[in-house]
Order: sequence, then structure tokens, then C-alpha cells
Amino acid sequence: MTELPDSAGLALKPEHFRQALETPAEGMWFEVHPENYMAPGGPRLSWLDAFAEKFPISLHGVGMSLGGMDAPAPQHLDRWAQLIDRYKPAAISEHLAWTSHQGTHFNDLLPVPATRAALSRFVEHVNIMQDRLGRQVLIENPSIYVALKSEMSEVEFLRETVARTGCGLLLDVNNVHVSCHNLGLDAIAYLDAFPHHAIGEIHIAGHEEDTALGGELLIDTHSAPIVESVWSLLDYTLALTGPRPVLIERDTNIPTFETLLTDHVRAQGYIDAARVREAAHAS
Amino acid sequence: MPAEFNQAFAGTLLGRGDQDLLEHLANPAHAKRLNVYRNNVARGAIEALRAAYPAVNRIAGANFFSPMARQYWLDHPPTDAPLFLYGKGFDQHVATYEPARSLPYLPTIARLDRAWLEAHHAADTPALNPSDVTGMNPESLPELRPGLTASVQLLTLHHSAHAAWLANRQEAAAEDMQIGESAEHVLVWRHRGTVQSASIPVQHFDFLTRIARGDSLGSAMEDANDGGIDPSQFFSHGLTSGLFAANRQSETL
Repeated sequence: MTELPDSAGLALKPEHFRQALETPAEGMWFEVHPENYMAPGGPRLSWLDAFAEKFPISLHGVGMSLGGMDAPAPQHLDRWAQLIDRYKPAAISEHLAWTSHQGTHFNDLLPVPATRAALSRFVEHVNIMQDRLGRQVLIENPSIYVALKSEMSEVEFLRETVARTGCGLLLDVNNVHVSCHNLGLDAIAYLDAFPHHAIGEIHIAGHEEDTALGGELLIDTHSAPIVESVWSLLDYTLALTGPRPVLIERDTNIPTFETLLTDHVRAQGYIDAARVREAAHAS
Repeated sequence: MPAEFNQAFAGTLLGRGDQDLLEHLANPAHAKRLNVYRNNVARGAIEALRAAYPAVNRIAGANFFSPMARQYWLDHPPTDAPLFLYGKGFDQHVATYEPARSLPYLPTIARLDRAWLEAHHAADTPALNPSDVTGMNPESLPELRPGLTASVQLLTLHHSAHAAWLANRQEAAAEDMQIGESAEHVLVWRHRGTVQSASIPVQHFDFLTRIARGDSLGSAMEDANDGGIDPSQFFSHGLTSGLFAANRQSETL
């Protein structure tokens, strides 16, 4: 579906540029937020040139606001197109979320009510993005903190988006865990219902309990180690999908590169196990 | 109506109350969870400013910086997705932020932080090399109008705060901050991927200002000579530091 290998990759952080570029880890690929590279020039862009020479790169957007009222900004699409031209990414992705409204950018992945009107608008915006960039986009399921009045489930919303735009999906297993916990839903049922054929990439990450509300509310912080229940959900997912590219996200409270490599090895183990299972089924 | 939903949500995020949003919640008990979104949005902007203004943060202290940045965010929320250049004009906000009155040099520190940031992310324009110049007909050199590379920032500061700023950009901050009341001319630029800065004499500043606006080397040097300095040494130093642009060469050679 994408040109990413069915192996584990890491979110690339400037703190790790030097070490990451020399990593011998097999099947390694890296993901970045394109917004952090939308600069006129400078060393950060040169670093990514060096990575793109050696590794598959994924551009994972957090600012297109596909779930908003306003159509994707032409200027933002142009900058995306420039980055695609320069770095030749193996995959590009965005979110089922909105980040801006009437010219104000909120820089957070805000929830979209699963209504028919919101779906039509979302489909239109995904089509605009794919048409402008000339390639398929993967859409990620978000972490949700409040239940909104809706006319369908999130999975139905995503399934319908795939059917009407030809987009792929990025399944964030941690987001499934967090959202289902927060909304009182069953994560396994969510994963079973998810359109597996459309999954082009999988994310895993750490989360934390809300400082004010405690265990009632989990927050997708990307700031903590991945919990065991999320690793289990990853294993469960890969049994449904077969081997897929799996990315480990860590955005704040960033540990050493070696620590991330430990997670990388573990994720690769689950992918390898899925490959073995698939081969056993086939024979 | 979804339009009302986004409008109501935006109002909640900007601290204008949750009333309009409540009817969109499937579970009224979740109203208290809206703080998560509010905090994420405010914190995202504040932390972007802290990353962009590290010396201001260090000198003023994180506890002082946060409410100052929060007020800036409320007055000037981001309008674009890339946040690393967010905060243009923050120095003016600092200058009018009442609690910062006791730190009159803080806006100057903010200007220097901003110059560093813009130099760091500026376009990669090719620099004129010393070898380009030695290969030139010496008679054509005065006619050269090189301009400056895109990263070069020329600042006239109200306080001589460059050394104090530089010390506070480092991990080990200087305990004893020397900040003078007199003006200072500062050059900030990026050379081989690293941002550099220097406090320079006014004559050098004027020379670079003239080159920046497209004057020829000859006329800029003549003026500098009248100002009582030998500009050729400064020019060659600037050459090895990558200050001058290579892009106008073809017009003049």
C-alpha cells in the first residue's frame, strides 16, 4: 500500500540525528512531522536529506486540519508538495482531526463528531489533499477525551472515508487503547471492526493518566514508555493484518536512542511473529 | 450544526466558556475533561515560545515566562501550522508586559533570540568564497554588489546585551550579567550550519547595511574609509565567515 517496509521504524528527533543516521538496525525507517521541516532552509532540512539518502522516510502531518470546516490551505499543501519533492517519502499521513478554525491554529488534534455532515466535509478535504499531492494519504484514528454526539461509530466514519476517497489508514494502537478507555468502549471490538485491508501503517506510543482526573482519563502524551496492554494490542492487531510497518512514537521526555532501539527490537519481534503466522497459514 | 460545533469548541479553547459546546457532548459528565484540550492548546503555544526564546526564559525564569507567553498567545494565537517560527513580535509583547518592567533589557534579549531563530531557519543561499574573489579581475571588484546571505541579521540594540545573551544561550548561564545602557550593534548569521553572532563597531555595521541594500563594494568601502576604518580587512573576514552572497556574481563579473 505504501513503500514503507513491513518492519519497525522510529519517530526521528533532532536530539538523535547523529546516532540515528549511523544506526545499523535492520529494516529501519524514520517518520517526521513535515510541519517541523517547513522552513526556508537551515541544518534541519540538510539532516533530513542525509536520512532520506539512507532510509525510507514517512511524513506524518499534524496540521492539515482535514476534519475542520475550512478546506486545506493551498499554502500548506504547496509546502507539503515541496517536501514530497525533496524527500521522496515512502508514505504520507494525516489525522481524523481538526487543528485550525477561521485562521487560528490550535496545534492540537481536536475531535470530529462522527456525523454525516462532518463525514462529507472530511471526504472532500481528503480528496483535495490527495489530488494536490498526487498520491494516497493514510488517515490516523485520533485519541479522544470526550464523547461527542454522533450518527455513526469512528470505525464506520473511517471505513466510509476509505470507500469514498481511496485513502489508506494509519492505525494507532495506543490511540485505540486511550480512546476506548476514555469512552468506555472495547478495544478488541474496535480492532476487530477496523477495515484491516486499508491499514498501511501502525503506530504505538506511551500515554499518561490525566494529572487532574487520574485513571479516569488517559492522555496520549507520547511522553512515557509503551504499556504492556498496548504491546498486547499490537500483537493482536498484527495477527489480524499480517506484517505491517510499525512506528514507535515518542515526542516529549525523549529517552536515549538506545532505549528507543529496545522498543524497536521488540516491535520488530511482533512483526516477525506475524510473518511466521502468515506463512504457516499459507502452507 | 457542525459549524456551531467548531465555533463553540474554538471558544472553549480560547477560554470564552464551555456553554455553547455542552450541547454537542454525548456525556455531560465529560465537560470537566475539556480542560485537557484547553491545556494542550495553551501549553503547545507556550512551549513553542519557550523553545524559540530560550535566553528570555532563562533570564526571566520559567515561572515568569509561562504567564507572559500565555498572554502573548491569547493576544496573538498562531495562524499557521509550523510553530517553530511562531512568536514574531514577542519582543514588543515583552516590552509592554507590565510585570517585565523591572527587566528593561528583556525585549533586547528577545530580539536576539528571534534573530538566532531566523538565522537558523533562513534559506540556504550560496555564499561568496574567498576563492571567488581571488579569481576576479581586481578592477571589477569595486563594482561587485554581492548583497548578504539570507541568514544575516543586523541589529541595533538599545542595551549592550550581546555578551549576556550569549552566556544565557549556553547551558551554563553566567551568574554575573553585564548589561550596559548604551546601544550595541550586533551581527547574527549562519555559517556552515551553525548560527554565529558578534558585537561589531558601528562602521562595520554601516558597511554591511550598505552591502545589504545592494550598494557596490567600492562605494561602501569608500564611506567606511571616511569613517576612519580600514574596511578591506573586515571585508576579507566577512568573506571567510560566509556573510556575502554569491548570487549576484553573474551580473558583475
